[in-house]
Amino acid sequence: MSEMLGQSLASAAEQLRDGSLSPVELTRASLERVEQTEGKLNAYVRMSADYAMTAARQAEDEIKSGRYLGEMHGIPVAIKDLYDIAGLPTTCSSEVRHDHVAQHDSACVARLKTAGAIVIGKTHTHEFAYGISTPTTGNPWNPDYIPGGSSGGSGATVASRGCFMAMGSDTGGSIRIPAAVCGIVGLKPTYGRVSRAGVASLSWSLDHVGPLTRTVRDAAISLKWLAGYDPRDPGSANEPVGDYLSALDAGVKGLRIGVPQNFFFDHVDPQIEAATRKAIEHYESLGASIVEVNLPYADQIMGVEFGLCLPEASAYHQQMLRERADLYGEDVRAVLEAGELIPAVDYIQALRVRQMMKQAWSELYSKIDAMIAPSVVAPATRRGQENIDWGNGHEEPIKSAFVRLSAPANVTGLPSVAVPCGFSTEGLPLSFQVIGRPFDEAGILRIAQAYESAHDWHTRAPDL
Amino acid sequence: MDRTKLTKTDIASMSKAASLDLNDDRQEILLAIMSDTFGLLDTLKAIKPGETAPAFAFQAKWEKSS
Repeated sequence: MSEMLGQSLASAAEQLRDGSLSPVELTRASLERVEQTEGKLNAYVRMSADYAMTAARQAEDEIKSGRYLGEMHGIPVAIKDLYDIAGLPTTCSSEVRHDHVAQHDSACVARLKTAGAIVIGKTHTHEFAYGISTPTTGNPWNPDYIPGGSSGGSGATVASRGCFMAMGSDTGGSIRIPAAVCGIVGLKPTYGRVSRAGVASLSWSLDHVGPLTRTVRDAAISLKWLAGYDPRDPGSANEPVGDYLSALDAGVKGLRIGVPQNFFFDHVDPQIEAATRKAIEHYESLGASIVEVNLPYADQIMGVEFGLCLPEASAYHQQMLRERADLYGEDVRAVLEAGELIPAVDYIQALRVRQMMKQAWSELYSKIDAMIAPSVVAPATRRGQENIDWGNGHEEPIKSAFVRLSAPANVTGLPSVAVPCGFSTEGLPLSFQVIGRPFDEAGILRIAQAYESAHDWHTRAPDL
Repeated sequence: MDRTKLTKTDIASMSKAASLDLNDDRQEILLAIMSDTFGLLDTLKAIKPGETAPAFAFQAKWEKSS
């Protein structure tokens, strides 16, 4: 692997800015790296090599002539194949959409292109983002294991150094789950912080979009270019965009970090629990105060998540399910059919309980600045594995197990960032998440940075 | 009434109400899924929302598209 790919986005951006690195060299190296790893990972639906090299040459000319646009200029990135890119198919990794060609760039793609980023290809998603395993794709740390989902292709390519940032979406954890099991950073911003215009929907009430990156600073840089109000997205928040970088290294002294006493540590792999608790100790050693908290409405979190997601997803797919049912994968088809059978009053009850949860979490956060919890219940599982065996006869389907710890931030809409925090005895990544206040992405990134800057997990690359 | 205990006839009735044509095999597949789903949704019944309005996203204000 070329050395220039082993650095962070921030570091590459510095070199591109001062001219010591060319966007053409960097993009060529990315494309070669993807070619090298695709046989094992199958992270991409399609590559856009010709487009990428043309864009890279343009970026090189612009930078050389003094028209440097900013940190994303000349940086190779990948886009989850839920996002529209004008002139390209948006397949959502499904046969159902094999003939769907986008007319316009999605909002995020447009922003990234305006920032000068180089789109090298479209990554696999679990079909229509409706799952956590992305069965097409392998985990870079061991391709016999899942890369997580639904943004599994994005997680795999960033972790394997195929590009510096990849876009994902997160309805029940689909940015943070692949980030966690691929050993990278995954940022789910506050609901409405980043425009979803031009992104195929799974559940309008729960969909978030955001970046997967190698480092916390890279996530902050990415968010800087992605965040902003967009009236084309009905869920878009007309909130001022924060400064995600200037206080990134401010540390955590004096911050109150909540540690949940219920829900987040129930049925969690002991290695993940141990790594998360070690991270909490680290924060305490840095001067943060640790506050024990109890999640309100813990027993209702999954009910709200699926009570919203199932009917909304089925509503989106209503016509396609009747016209092209046989083209869906069986797992997705079954839940889409199920969503159609849920009474409206159940859906509305979920919306009402969600509102009550929002109020209760607001009161919870009067005592804390952020919460630390494991990102996922277990390291990556084997491809094809259906259940996690917790012992004592208790098995849990992985498709709900992996959503369990990420659902709270989807249901509450709060920002959450997944941070790598070690490796299991099997060599698979471990991860914790930082959950913050609405629109306090700067706060959670600062907390994440305080951990990352004292550890080197983010510098380790899979041996591919 | 325990709605987690379903029969294929129940699934057929529900799918008819949804105008969704499910054959015998599809009804069989959905039995377990709907049972689990209703089990999850029933956890929400423990909460009495009182006057709490749903978290709807609709805004009456007109926005210009850029």
